Amino acid sequence: MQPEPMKQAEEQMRELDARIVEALERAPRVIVPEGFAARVAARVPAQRVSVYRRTRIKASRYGMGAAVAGLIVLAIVMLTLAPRVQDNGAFWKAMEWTFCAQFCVLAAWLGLGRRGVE
Amino acid sequence: MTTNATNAVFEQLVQQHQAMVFRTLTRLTGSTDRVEDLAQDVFLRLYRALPGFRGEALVSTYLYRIAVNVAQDEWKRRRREDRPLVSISEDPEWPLEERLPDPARNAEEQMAQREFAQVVEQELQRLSSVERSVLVLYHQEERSYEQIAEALRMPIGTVRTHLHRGRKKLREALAARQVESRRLVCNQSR
Repeated sequence: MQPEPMKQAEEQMRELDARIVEALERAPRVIVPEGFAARVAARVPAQRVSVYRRTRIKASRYGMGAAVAGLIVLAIVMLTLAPRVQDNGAFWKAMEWTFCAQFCVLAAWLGLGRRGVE
Repeated sequence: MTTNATNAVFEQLVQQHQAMVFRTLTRLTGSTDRVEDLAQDVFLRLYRALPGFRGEALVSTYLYRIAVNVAQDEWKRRRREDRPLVSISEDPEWPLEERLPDPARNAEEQMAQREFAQVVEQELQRLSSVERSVLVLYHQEERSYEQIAEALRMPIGTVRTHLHRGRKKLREALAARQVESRRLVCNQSR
């Protein structure tokens, strides 16, 4: 059997525990400012769109630069290959046509892309 | 979905959870100061995270995780700025009278309860941020061990340990305060 003071101490601890739990369970009463949800929702798309636009323009400019560089390289390669195509065989002809097709595709993409960047 | 429709859906989501976010942030930061800014931060972080959200967890669990992170950032910011904390127990915007909705109790009991709640609030703010988060999510928000473990990304056993440790620290601190106040009363009566 437990001595009386120990029992009393245990009882006090149990009571203290119960009071702590009661205090913890009591949630603060909060006042959500009027129109809070609308304000948050209004802030959201603005951020999203600005990030999207910045990324798109940046990517387009890089793409544009790469396409122009590609066009120049293709033009040089085609000019270099031109004498060989006249002299001999089907292989060089096929190469020349392949480069030509690539040149046209790149030029077309550049032309269409410019309109989209505005 | 159009921008307006997305806006409306998100606004509804905010409305559903705003009270919970305000409540949790108020308790976790121990102050109503800046709570609106912090709540906005929580929802903006949620919005940014939504594309990667695959519905494995409830939105509320996700929100608790974000709220705990935002509260921790706030604590770090306060520590950096060395700002004294205005405890919710002393906050004029949230008087303790408003937290005592039980009109049946007499004035003396209410006063004692008010004082006790103040002390618990102060001691809660002295715990580590993990212990405080676990105690608030378990007792105030009535989340299960599993939900807390998911929100805080820790094993259930660790949640139990923090809960046990946090309550023990609170109990010891409050018992020490009670002994101290009794000693003071005894000294005054002599």
